[in-house]
Amino acid sequence: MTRIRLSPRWAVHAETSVRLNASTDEAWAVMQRFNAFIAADPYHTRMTDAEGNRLDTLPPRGTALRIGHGIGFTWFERVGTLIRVKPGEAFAFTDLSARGRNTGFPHLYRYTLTPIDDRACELKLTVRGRWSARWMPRAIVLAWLGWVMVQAKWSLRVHTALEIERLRKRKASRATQERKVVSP
Amino acid sequence: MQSPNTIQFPEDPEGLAREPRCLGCGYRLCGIDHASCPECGQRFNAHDPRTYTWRRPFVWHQYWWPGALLAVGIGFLWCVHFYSGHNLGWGLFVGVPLMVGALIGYRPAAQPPFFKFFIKLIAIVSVPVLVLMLMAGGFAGVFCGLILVVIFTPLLLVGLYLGVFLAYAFASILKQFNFRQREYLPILLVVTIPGALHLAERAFAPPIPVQTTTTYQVLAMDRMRAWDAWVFYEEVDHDPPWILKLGLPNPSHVEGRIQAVGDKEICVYTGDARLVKRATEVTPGERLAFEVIEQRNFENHSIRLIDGSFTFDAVDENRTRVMWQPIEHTVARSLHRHVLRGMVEPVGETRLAQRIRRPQP
Repeated sequence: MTRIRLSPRWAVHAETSVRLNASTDEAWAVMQRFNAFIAADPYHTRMTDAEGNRLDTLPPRGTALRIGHGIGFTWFERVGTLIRVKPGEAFAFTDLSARGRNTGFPHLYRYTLTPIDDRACELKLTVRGRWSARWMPRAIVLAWLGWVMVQAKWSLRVHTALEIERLRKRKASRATQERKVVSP
Repeated sequence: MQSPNTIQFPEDPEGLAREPRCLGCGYRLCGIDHASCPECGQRFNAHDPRTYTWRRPFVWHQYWWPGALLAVGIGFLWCVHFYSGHNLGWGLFVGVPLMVGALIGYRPAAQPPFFKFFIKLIAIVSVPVLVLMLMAGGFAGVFCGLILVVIFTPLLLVGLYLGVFLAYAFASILKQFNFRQREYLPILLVVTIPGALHLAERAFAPPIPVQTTTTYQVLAMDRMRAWDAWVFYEEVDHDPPWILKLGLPNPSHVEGRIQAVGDKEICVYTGDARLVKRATEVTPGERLAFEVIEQRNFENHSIRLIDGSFTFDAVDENRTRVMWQPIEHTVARSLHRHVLRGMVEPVGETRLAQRIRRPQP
Protein backbone atom coordinates (compact mmCIF):
# COMPACT_ATOMS: atom_id res chain seq x y z
CA MET A 1 0.00 0.00 0.00
CA THR A 2 1.31 3.46 -0.90
CA ARG A 3 0.05 6.54 0.95
CA ILE A 4 0.86 10.17 0.25
CA ARG A 5 -0.20 13.09 2.42
CA LEU A 6 0.50 16.75 1.73
CA SER A 7 -0.64 19.00 4.59
CA PRO A 8 -1.92 22.56 4.09
CA ARG A 9 1.53 23.72 5.30
CA TRP A 10 3.22 21.55 2.63
CA ALA A 11 4.47 18.90 5.03
CA VAL A 12 4.95 15.64 3.14
CA HIS A 13 4.31 12.22 4.62
CA ALA A 14 4.66 9.41 2.13
CA GLU A 15 4.97 5.73 2.81
CA THR A 16 5.02 2.51 0.90
CA SER A 17 5.68 -1.07 1.88
CA VAL A 18 6.86 -4.27 0.25
CA ARG A 19 6.29 -7.79 1.50
CA LEU A 20 9.50 -9.81 1.38
CA ASN A 21 9.63 -13.58 1.35
CA ALA A 22 12.57 -13.58 3.72
CA SER A 23 13.19 -13.49 7.43
CA THR A 24 14.01 -10.15 9.03
CA ASP A 25 17.62 -11.34 9.45
CA GLU A 26 17.94 -11.94 5.73
CA ALA A 27 16.23 -8.66 4.90
CA TRP A 28 18.49 -6.79 7.33
CA ALA A 29 21.54 -8.39 5.70
CA VAL A 30 20.33 -6.97 2.39
CA MET A 31 19.79 -3.53 3.96
CA GLN A 32 23.26 -3.59 5.45
CA ARG A 33 24.79 -3.50 2.00
CA PHE A 34 24.13 0.20 2.30
CA ASN A 35 25.27 1.63 -1.03
CA ALA A 36 23.67 -1.16 -3.06
CA PHE A 37 20.44 -0.94 -1.07
CA ILE A 38 20.14 2.83 -1.36
CA ALA A 39 20.98 2.70 -5.07
CA ALA A 40 17.93 0.46 -5.57
CA ASP A 41 15.84 3.61 -5.24
CA PRO A 42 15.26 5.00 -8.74
CA TYR A 43 16.73 8.42 -7.85
CA HIS A 44 19.52 7.53 -5.42
CA THR A 45 22.57 6.44 -7.35
CA ARG A 46 25.22 6.13 -4.67
CA MET A 47 25.96 6.76 -1.03
CA THR A 48 29.32 8.05 0.14
CA ASP A 49 30.69 9.56 3.33
CA ALA A 50 31.74 13.21 3.59
CA GLU A 51 35.17 12.35 2.08
CA GLY A 52 33.61 10.65 -0.91
CA ASN A 53 34.36 7.03 0.12
CA ARG A 54 31.61 4.68 -0.94
CA LEU A 55 29.70 3.24 1.99
CA ASP A 56 29.38 -0.43 1.08
CA THR A 57 28.17 -1.37 4.55
CA LEU A 58 25.84 0.46 6.89
CA PRO A 59 27.96 3.01 8.80
CA PRO A 60 27.37 4.00 12.44
CA ARG A 61 24.75 6.52 13.45
CA GLY A 62 25.78 10.12 12.96
CA THR A 63 27.82 9.52 9.79
CA ALA A 64 27.68 12.46 7.40
CA LEU A 65 26.46 11.37 3.98
CA ARG A 66 26.72 12.55 0.40
CA ILE A 67 23.84 11.14 -1.59
CA GLY A 68 24.16 10.93 -5.36
CA HIS A 69 20.84 11.53 -7.12
CA GLY A 70 20.10 10.96 -10.75
CA ILE A 71 17.80 9.65 -13.40
CA GLY A 72 18.97 9.01 -16.92
CA PHE A 73 22.03 11.17 -17.50
CA THR A 74 21.07 13.86 -14.99
CA TRP A 75 23.11 13.77 -11.80
CA PHE A 76 23.46 15.91 -8.68
CA GLU A 77 24.54 15.42 -5.10
CA ARG A 78 22.69 16.11 -1.85
CA VAL A 79 23.88 15.80 1.72
CA GLY A 80 22.52 14.13 4.81
CA THR A 81 23.23 12.35 8.07
CA LEU A 82 22.49 8.84 9.21
CA ILE A 83 20.31 9.72 12.19
CA ARG A 84 19.05 6.35 13.30
CA VAL A 85 20.30 2.77 13.16
CA LYS A 86 18.42 0.06 15.02
CA PRO A 87 20.09 -3.23 14.02
CA GLY A 88 17.70 -5.76 12.55
CA GLU A 89 14.90 -3.24 12.51
CA ALA A 90 15.36 0.15 10.94
CA PHE A 91 17.60 2.94 9.79
CA ALA A 92 16.91 6.52 8.78
CA PHE A 93 18.85 9.31 7.14
CA THR A 94 18.21 12.90 6.17
CA ASP A 95 18.33 13.96 2.53
CA LEU A 96 18.96 17.70 2.22
CA SER A 97 19.93 20.08 -0.52
CA ALA A 98 23.59 21.08 -0.65
CA ARG A 99 22.34 24.71 -0.96
CA GLY A 100 20.75 24.79 2.47
CA ARG A 101 18.36 23.12 4.84
CA ASN A 102 15.24 24.94 3.71
CA THR A 103 15.47 24.52 -0.04
CA GLY A 104 15.14 21.62 -2.45
CA PHE A 105 12.64 19.48 -0.52
CA PRO A 106 14.48 18.65 2.74
CA HIS A 107 13.28 15.22 3.82
CA LEU A 108 13.96 12.16 5.88
CA TYR A 109 14.15 8.61 4.55
CA ARG A 110 13.33 5.77 6.90
CA TYR A 111 13.39 2.05 6.17
CA THR A 112 11.68 -0.19 8.73
CA LEU A 113 11.42 -3.97 8.90
CA THR A 114 8.42 -5.64 10.55
CA PRO A 115 8.33 -9.43 10.89
CA ILE A 116 5.20 -11.15 9.55
CA ASP A 117 6.29 -14.70 10.33
CA ASP A 118 9.53 -16.72 10.29
CA ARG A 119 9.82 -16.58 6.51
CA ALA A 120 8.29 -13.25 5.64
CA CYS A 121 8.57 -9.65 6.67
CA GLU A 122 7.44 -6.22 5.56
CA LEU A 123 9.84 -3.52 4.47
CA LYS A 124 8.37 -0.06 4.87
CA LEU A 125 9.80 3.08 3.33
CA THR A 126 8.68 6.35 4.91
CA VAL A 127 9.56 9.76 3.51
CA ARG A 128 8.82 12.83 5.62
CA GLY A 129 9.75 16.38 4.76
CA ARG A 130 8.58 19.78 3.65
CA TRP A 131 7.88 20.61 0.03
CA SER A 132 9.77 23.79 -0.78
CA ALA A 133 8.68 24.56 -4.37
CA ARG A 134 5.33 25.97 -3.25
CA TRP A 135 4.61 27.66 -6.54
CA MET A 136 3.73 24.24 -7.94
CA PRO A 137 0.07 23.17 -8.05
CA ARG A 138 -0.61 20.78 -5.17
CA ALA A 139 -2.14 18.20 -7.51
CA ILE A 140 1.11 18.04 -9.51
CA VAL A 141 3.16 17.67 -6.31
CA LEU A 142 0.90 14.85 -5.10
CA ALA A 143 1.05 13.12 -8.48
CA TRP A 144 4.85 13.43 -8.58
CA LEU A 145 5.29 12.10 -5.02
CA GLY A 146 2.91 9.25 -5.76
CA TRP A 147 4.81 8.35 -8.89
CA VAL A 148 8.17 8.45 -7.10
CA MET A 149 6.94 6.27 -4.25
CA VAL A 150 5.47 3.69 -6.62
CA GLN A 151 8.77 3.61 -8.53
CA ALA A 152 10.65 3.21 -5.24
CA LYS A 153 8.35 0.37 -4.22
CA TRP A 154 8.84 -1.50 -7.50
CA SER A 155 12.60 -1.01 -7.39
CA LEU A 156 12.80 -2.21 -3.79
CA ARG A 157 10.80 -5.30 -4.67
CA VAL A 158 13.14 -6.24 -7.53
CA HIS A 159 16.34 -5.36 -5.67
CA THR A 160 15.50 -7.17 -2.44
CA ALA A 161 14.34 -10.30 -4.30
CA LEU A 162 17.64 -10.48 -6.20
CA GLU A 163 19.76 -9.73 -3.16
CA ILE A 164 17.97 -12.34 -1.05
CA GLU A 165 18.57 -14.87 -3.83
CA ARG A 166 22.26 -13.93 -3.84
CA LEU A 167 22.42 -14.21 -0.06
CA ARG A 168 20.86 -17.66 -0.02
CA LYS A 169 23.16 -18.92 -2.76
CA ARG A 170 26.14 -17.59 -0.87
CA LYS A 171 24.99 -19.33 2.29
CA ALA A 172 24.51 -22.59 0.39
CA SER A 173 27.94 -22.25 -1.17
CA ARG A 174 29.53 -21.63 2.24
CA ALA A 175 27.72 -24.63 3.70
CA THR A 176 29.01 -26.85 0.87
CA GLN A 177 32.56 -25.68 1.49
CA GLU A 178 32.25 -26.30 5.21
CA ARG A 179 30.95 -29.82 4.55
CA LYS A 180 33.97 -30.47 2.34
CA VAL A 181 36.34 -29.32 5.08
CA VAL A 182 34.64 -31.54 7.67
CA SER A 183 34.57 -34.67 5.46
CA PRO A 184 37.60 -34.59 3.14
CA MET B 1 -5.96 46.99 -55.00
CA GLN B 2 -7.22 44.45 -57.52
CA SER B 3 -6.55 44.97 -61.24
CA PRO B 4 -9.68 45.25 -63.45
CA ASN B 5 -8.62 42.00 -65.19
CA THR B 6 -8.50 39.97 -61.97
CA ILE B 7 -10.40 36.72 -62.42
CA GLN B 8 -13.47 36.55 -60.19
CA PHE B 9 -14.40 33.19 -58.63
CA PRO B 10 -17.81 32.27 -57.22
CA GLU B 11 -18.31 32.03 -53.43
CA ASP B 12 -17.12 28.94 -51.54
CA PRO B 13 -20.04 26.50 -52.01
CA GLU B 14 -19.64 25.23 -48.42
CA GLY B 15 -19.56 28.76 -46.99
CA LEU B 16 -16.18 28.24 -45.28
CA ALA B 17 -14.54 31.27 -46.93
CA ARG B 18 -11.80 29.11 -48.47
CA GLU B 19 -9.72 30.19 -51.44
CA PRO B 20 -9.76 28.41 -54.80
CA ARG B 21 -6.63 26.39 -55.50
CA CYS B 22 -4.88 24.89 -58.50
CA LEU B 23 -5.74 21.24 -59.09
CA GLY B 24 -2.15 20.46 -60.00
CA CYS B 25 -0.11 22.08 -57.24
CA GLY B 26 -2.53 23.58 -54.71
CA TYR B 27 -1.44 27.17 -55.47
CA ARG B 28 -3.97 29.79 -54.30
CA LEU B 29 -5.60 31.30 -57.40
CA CYS B 30 -7.04 34.49 -55.89
CA GLY B 31 -5.93 37.79 -57.30
CA ILE B 32 -4.43 36.56 -60.57
CA ASP B 33 -5.37 37.98 -63.94
CA HIS B 34 -4.84 35.08 -66.32
CA ALA B 35 -6.51 31.65 -66.42
CA SER B 36 -3.45 29.53 -65.73
CA CYS B 37 -1.62 28.69 -62.52
CA PRO B 38 1.47 30.92 -62.07
CA GLU B 39 3.19 28.06 -60.26
CA CYS B 40 2.67 25.04 -62.53
CA GLY B 41 0.94 26.51 -65.58
CA GLN B 42 -2.20 24.37 -65.39
CA ARG B 43 -5.16 26.11 -66.99
CA PHE B 44 -8.47 26.62 -65.19
CA ASN B 45 -11.86 28.18 -65.77
CA ALA B 46 -13.34 30.16 -62.87
CA HIS B 47 -16.86 29.25 -64.04
CA ASP B 48 -16.10 25.52 -64.19
CA PRO B 49 -15.58 24.14 -60.62
CA ARG B 50 -14.10 20.95 -62.07
CA THR B 51 -10.95 22.84 -63.20
CA TYR B 52 -9.90 24.01 -59.71
CA THR B 53 -10.49 22.90 -56.10
CA TRP B 54 -11.58 24.46 -52.80
CA ARG B 55 -9.70 21.88 -50.74
CA ARG B 56 -6.25 22.40 -49.27
CA PRO B 57 -3.66 20.03 -50.77
CA PHE B 58 -2.65 17.02 -48.69
CA VAL B 59 0.68 17.85 -47.03
CA TRP B 60 1.91 14.53 -45.75
CA HIS B 61 4.33 15.79 -43.11
CA GLN B 62 1.74 18.13 -41.61
CA TYR B 63 -0.66 15.22 -41.50
CA TRP B 64 1.70 12.58 -40.06
CA TRP B 65 4.31 14.31 -37.91
CA PRO B 66 2.14 15.59 -35.03
CA GLY B 67 0.72 12.10 -34.45
CA ALA B 68 4.10 10.41 -34.83
CA LEU B 69 5.80 12.84 -32.42
CA LEU B 70 2.96 12.41 -29.94
CA ALA B 71 3.28 8.62 -30.20
CA VAL B 72 7.06 8.57 -29.74
CA GLY B 73 6.91 11.15 -26.92
CA ILE B 74 4.28 9.25 -24.95
CA GLY B 75 6.07 5.97 -25.69
CA PHE B 76 9.28 7.47 -24.26
CA LEU B 77 7.51 8.59 -21.08
CA TRP B 78 6.05 5.12 -20.58
CA CYS B 79 9.49 3.57 -21.11
CA VAL B 80 11.03 5.93 -18.51
CA HIS B 81 8.24 4.95 -16.14
CA PHE B 82 8.88 1.23 -16.57
CA TYR B 83 12.67 1.47 -16.56
CA SER B 84 12.76 3.63 -13.43
CA GLY B 85 10.78 1.06 -11.48
CA HIS B 86 12.64 -1.94 -13.00
CA ASN B 87 9.36 -3.15 -14.47
CA LEU B 88 10.49 -4.85 -17.63
CA GLY B 89 7.40 -6.82 -18.54
CA TRP B 90 4.29 -6.77 -20.69
CA GLY B 91 3.79 -3.04 -20.25
CA LEU B 92 7.19 -2.18 -21.70
CA PHE B 93 7.75 -4.90 -24.26
CA VAL B 94 4.19 -5.30 -25.55
CA GLY B 95 2.21 -2.28 -24.39
CA VAL B 96 4.57 0.47 -25.52
CA PRO B 97 5.05 -0.69 -29.16
CA LEU B 98 1.33 -1.47 -29.50
CA MET B 99 0.45 1.97 -28.19
CA VAL B 100 2.96 3.81 -30.40
CA GLY B 101 1.75 1.87 -33.45
CA ALA B 102 -1.90 2.44 -32.63
CA LEU B 103 -1.35 6.19 -32.17
CA ILE B 104 0.39 6.43 -35.52
CA GLY B 105 -2.20 4.23 -37.22
CA TYR B 106 -5.23 5.96 -35.72
CA ARG B 107 -6.35 8.31 -38.49
CA PRO B 108 -10.11 8.97 -38.57
CA ALA B 109 -10.01 10.34 -42.12
CA ALA B 110 -7.02 8.52 -43.57
CA GLN B 111 -6.23 8.80 -47.28
CA PRO B 112 -5.68 5.21 -48.39
CA PRO B 113 -2.88 5.68 -50.98
CA PHE B 114 -0.82 7.93 -48.69
CA PHE B 115 -1.69 5.85 -45.68
CA LYS B 116 -0.16 2.68 -47.01
CA PHE B 117 3.21 4.17 -47.81
CA PHE B 118 3.81 6.83 -45.18
CA ILE B 119 2.37 4.97 -42.23
CA LYS B 120 4.88 2.17 -42.67
CA LEU B 121 7.73 4.58 -43.26
CA ILE B 122 6.90 6.54 -40.12
CA ALA B 123 6.39 3.39 -38.07
CA ILE B 124 9.76 2.02 -39.12
CA VAL B 125 11.49 5.32 -38.35
CA SER B 126 9.77 5.74 -34.99
CA VAL B 127 11.26 2.57 -33.46
CA PRO B 128 14.93 3.61 -33.75
CA VAL B 129 14.01 7.17 -32.78
CA LEU B 130 12.36 5.91 -29.58
CA VAL B 131 15.25 3.56 -28.81
CA LEU B 132 17.85 6.28 -29.48
CA MET B 133 15.96 8.57 -27.08
CA LEU B 134 16.16 5.87 -24.41
CA MET B 135 19.87 5.36 -25.06
CA ALA B 136 20.54 9.11 -25.00
CA GLY B 137 18.66 9.34 -21.71
CA GLY B 138 20.83 6.61 -20.19
CA PHE B 139 17.97 4.16 -19.77
CA ALA B 140 19.21 1.57 -22.27
CA GLY B 141 22.62 0.48 -23.43
CA VAL B 142 23.49 -0.60 -26.97
CA PHE B 143 22.63 -4.22 -26.34
CA CYS B 144 19.31 -3.43 -24.71
CA GLY B 145 18.59 -0.96 -27.52
CA LEU B 146 19.14 -3.62 -30.17
CA ILE B 147 16.89 -6.05 -28.33
CA LEU B 148 14.21 -3.36 -28.08
CA VAL B 149 14.36 -2.68 -31.83
CA VAL B 150 13.87 -6.40 -32.54
CA ILE B 151 10.94 -6.68 -30.11
CA PHE B 152 9.30 -3.35 -30.88
CA THR B 153 9.27 -3.44 -34.70
CA PRO B 154 6.80 -6.31 -35.32
CA LEU B 155 4.58 -5.29 -32.41
CA LEU B 156 4.50 -1.71 -33.61
CA LEU B 157 3.28 -2.90 -37.02
CA VAL B 158 0.54 -4.87 -35.24
CA GLY B 159 -0.26 -1.66 -33.35
CA LEU B 160 -0.64 0.22 -36.65
CA TYR B 161 -3.44 -2.06 -37.71
CA LEU B 162 -4.95 -1.84 -34.24
CA GLY B 163 -5.05 1.92 -34.73
CA VAL B 164 -6.70 1.54 -38.14
CA PHE B 165 -9.23 -0.88 -36.66
CA LEU B 166 -10.02 1.51 -33.80
CA ALA B 167 -10.57 4.38 -36.24
CA TYR B 168 -13.17 2.32 -38.13
CA ALA B 169 -14.68 0.75 -35.02
CA PHE B 170 -15.21 4.06 -33.26
CA ALA B 171 -16.31 6.05 -36.31
CA SER B 172 -20.03 5.31 -35.97
CA ILE B 173 -20.02 5.48 -32.16
CA LEU B 174 -18.32 8.86 -32.09
CA LYS B 175 -20.81 10.39 -34.51
CA GLN B 176 -23.36 10.31 -31.71
CA PHE B 177 -21.36 12.86 -29.69
CA ASN B 178 -21.54 16.57 -30.30
CA PHE B 179 -17.98 17.32 -29.14
CA ARG B 180 -15.94 18.82 -32.01
CA GLN B 181 -12.74 16.92 -31.21
CA ARG B 182 -14.61 13.65 -30.65
CA GLU B 183 -12.56 11.82 -33.25
CA TYR B 184 -9.51 12.06 -31.00
CA LEU B 185 -11.13 10.62 -27.86
CA PRO B 186 -9.99 7.02 -28.58
CA ILE B 187 -6.39 8.29 -28.31
CA LEU B 188 -6.94 8.57 -24.55
CA LEU B 189 -7.87 4.90 -24.53
CA VAL B 190 -4.84 3.93 -26.62
CA VAL B 191 -2.44 5.81 -24.32
CA THR B 192 -3.49 3.60 -21.37
CA ILE B 193 -2.56 0.33 -23.14
CA PRO B 194 0.91 -0.07 -21.49
CA GLY B 195 -0.49 0.62 -18.02
CA ALA B 196 -3.38 -1.79 -18.55
CA LEU B 197 -1.02 -4.54 -19.70
CA HIS B 198 1.26 -3.90 -16.74
CA LEU B 199 -1.67 -4.23 -14.33
CA ALA B 200 -2.84 -7.37 -16.13
CA GLU B 201 0.63 -8.88 -15.78
CA ARG B 202 0.70 -8.12 -12.08
CA ALA B 203 -2.74 -9.64 -11.64
CA PHE B 204 -2.40 -12.79 -13.72
CA ALA B 205 1.21 -13.62 -14.52
CA PRO B 206 3.35 -15.36 -11.91
CA PRO B 207 6.50 -13.44 -10.93
CA ILE B 208 9.50 -14.31 -13.09
CA PRO B 209 12.07 -16.30 -11.12
CA VAL B 210 15.74 -15.33 -11.20
CA GLN B 211 17.22 -16.69 -14.40
CA THR B 212 20.26 -18.97 -14.50
CA THR B 213 22.08 -19.91 -17.69
CA THR B 214 24.33 -22.96 -17.69
CA THR B 215 26.70 -23.82 -20.52
CA TYR B 216 28.68 -27.06 -20.74
CA GLN B 217 31.77 -27.74 -22.78
CA VAL B 218 34.18 -30.65 -22.76
CA LEU B 219 37.77 -29.41 -22.81
CA ALA B 220 40.58 -31.69 -24.00
CA MET B 221 42.72 -31.18 -20.90
CA ASP B 222 42.91 -32.49 -17.37
CA ARG B 223 41.14 -30.83 -14.47
CA MET B 224 44.03 -28.88 -13.01
CA ARG B 225 45.08 -27.55 -16.40
CA ALA B 226 41.50 -26.48 -17.02
CA TRP B 227 41.51 -24.78 -13.62
CA ASP B 228 44.63 -22.85 -14.53
CA ALA B 229 43.11 -21.85 -17.85
CA TRP B 230 39.85 -20.31 -16.65
CA VAL B 231 39.34 -16.70 -17.54
CA PHE B 232 36.66 -14.08 -17.16
CA TYR B 233 35.07 -12.53 -20.24
CA GLU B 234 37.29 -9.49 -19.82
CA GLU B 235 40.47 -11.58 -20.00
CA VAL B 236 39.78 -13.59 -23.15
CA ASP B 237 42.38 -12.87 -25.86
CA HIS B 238 40.39 -13.50 -29.06
CA ASP B 239 37.73 -11.18 -30.46
CA PRO B 240 34.23 -11.62 -28.99
CA PRO B 241 31.27 -12.60 -31.23
CA TRP B 242 29.62 -9.67 -33.02
CA ILE B 243 26.64 -9.59 -30.68
CA LEU B 244 28.88 -9.05 -27.67
CA LYS B 245 31.18 -6.68 -29.53
CA LEU B 246 28.29 -4.55 -30.71
CA GLY B 247 26.09 -4.77 -27.66
CA LEU B 248 28.23 -4.81 -24.55
CA PRO B 249 30.84 -2.31 -23.38
CA ASN B 250 34.34 -3.28 -24.59
CA PRO B 251 36.63 -4.64 -21.87
CA SER B 252 39.59 -2.37 -21.22
CA HIS B 253 41.58 -4.09 -18.47
CA VAL B 254 41.32 -6.09 -15.26
CA GLU B 255 42.59 -5.00 -11.86
CA GLY B 256 43.24 -7.50 -9.07
CA ARG B 257 43.34 -11.26 -9.19
CA ILE B 258 41.09 -13.94 -7.76
CA GLN B 259 43.04 -16.72 -6.06
CA ALA B 260 41.22 -17.22 -2.78
CA VAL B 261 37.79 -16.56 -1.24
CA GLY B 262 37.26 -12.82 -0.76
CA ASP B 263 39.65 -11.78 -3.56
CA LYS B 264 38.29 -9.18 -5.94
CA GLU B 265 38.73 -8.62 -9.66
CA ILE B 266 37.72 -5.25 -11.03
CA CYS B 267 36.83 -5.51 -14.71
CA VAL B 268 37.04 -2.10 -16.37
CA TYR B 269 35.26 -1.33 -19.65
CA THR B 270 35.13 1.55 -22.07
CA GLY B 271 32.62 4.27 -21.20
CA ASP B 272 33.40 4.23 -17.44
CA ALA B 273 31.63 0.89 -17.03
CA ARG B 274 32.93 -1.61 -14.53
CA LEU B 275 32.08 -4.84 -12.77
CA VAL B 276 33.61 -5.84 -9.47
CA LYS B 277 33.62 -9.60 -8.86
CA ARG B 278 34.43 -11.16 -5.51
CA ALA B 279 35.23 -14.86 -5.05
CA THR B 280 32.82 -16.68 -2.76
CA GLU B 281 34.12 -20.23 -3.27
CA VAL B 282 37.52 -21.36 -4.52
CA THR B 283 38.24 -25.08 -4.61
CA PRO B 284 41.14 -25.58 -7.05
CA GLY B 285 40.31 -28.07 -9.76
CA GLU B 286 36.65 -28.23 -8.74
CA ARG B 287 34.73 -25.01 -8.48
CA LEU B 288 35.10 -21.29 -8.54
CA ALA B 289 32.10 -19.17 -7.55
CA PHE B 290 31.95 -15.41 -7.53
CA GLU B 291 29.46 -12.66 -6.89
CA VAL B 292 29.18 -9.34 -8.66
CA ILE B 293 29.36 -6.72 -5.94
CA GLU B 294 29.36 -3.65 -8.15
CA GLN B 295 27.82 -3.08 -11.56
CA ARG B 296 28.34 0.41 -12.93
CA ASN B 297 27.14 1.70 -16.32
CA PHE B 298 26.76 -1.87 -17.53
CA GLU B 299 23.19 -2.17 -18.85
CA ASN B 300 22.11 -1.27 -15.30
CA HIS B 301 18.46 -0.76 -16.18
CA SER B 302 17.96 -4.06 -17.97
CA ILE B 303 20.38 -6.66 -16.61
CA ARG B 304 21.38 -7.17 -13.01
CA LEU B 305 24.40 -9.44 -12.67
CA ILE B 306 24.40 -11.30 -9.37
CA ASP B 307 26.84 -14.15 -9.42
CA GLY B 308 28.37 -16.96 -11.43
CA SER B 309 30.54 -20.02 -11.11
CA PHE B 310 32.85 -22.39 -12.96
CA THR B 311 32.42 -26.05 -12.06
CA PHE B 312 35.00 -28.54 -13.31
CA ASP B 313 33.90 -32.19 -13.62
CA ALA B 314 36.42 -34.75 -14.84
CA VAL B 315 35.03 -36.75 -17.76
CA ASP B 316 38.13 -38.97 -17.84
CA GLU B 317 41.81 -38.42 -17.18
CA ASN B 318 42.31 -36.03 -20.04
CA ARG B 319 38.95 -34.36 -20.48
CA THR B 320 37.05 -31.96 -18.24
CA ARG B 321 33.47 -30.72 -18.39
CA VAL B 322 33.12 -27.10 -17.37
CA MET B 323 29.89 -25.48 -16.21
CA TRP B 324 29.57 -21.77 -15.83
CA GLN B 325 26.38 -20.62 -14.14
CA PRO B 326 26.15 -16.87 -14.11
CA ILE B 327 22.74 -15.36 -13.59
CA GLU B 328 22.37 -13.36 -16.70
CA HIS B 329 19.60 -13.05 -19.18
CA THR B 330 20.12 -12.83 -22.85
CA VAL B 331 23.67 -12.88 -24.12
CA ALA B 332 24.80 -15.35 -21.55
CA ARG B 333 25.19 -18.36 -23.76
CA SER B 334 27.15 -16.65 -26.48
CA LEU B 335 29.28 -14.99 -23.81
CA HIS B 336 29.90 -18.38 -22.19
CA ARG B 337 31.01 -19.97 -25.43
CA HIS B 338 33.33 -17.05 -26.05
CA VAL B 339 34.92 -17.51 -22.62
CA LEU B 340 35.17 -21.28 -22.93
CA ARG B 341 36.88 -20.87 -26.30
CA GLY B 342 39.29 -18.50 -24.58
CA MET B 343 40.25 -21.29 -22.21
CA VAL B 344 41.32 -23.70 -24.92
CA GLU B 345 42.93 -21.30 -27.37
CA PRO B 346 46.72 -21.62 -27.59
CA VAL B 347 48.48 -18.85 -25.68
CA GLY B 348 52.16 -18.10 -25.14
CA GLU B 349 54.07 -19.29 -22.06
CA THR B 350 54.09 -15.79 -20.53
CA ARG B 351 50.32 -15.38 -20.93
CA LEU B 352 49.82 -18.87 -19.53
CA ALA B 353 51.94 -18.03 -16.50
CA GLN B 354 49.92 -14.84 -15.96
CA ARG B 355 46.74 -16.85 -15.84
CA ILE B 356 47.75 -19.33 -13.13
CA ARG B 357 45.24 -18.98 -10.29
CA ARG B 358 46.66 -21.47 -7.84
CA PRO B 359 48.45 -19.83 -4.93
CA GLN B 360 52.19 -20.08 -5.69
CA PRO B 361 54.45 -21.63 -3.04
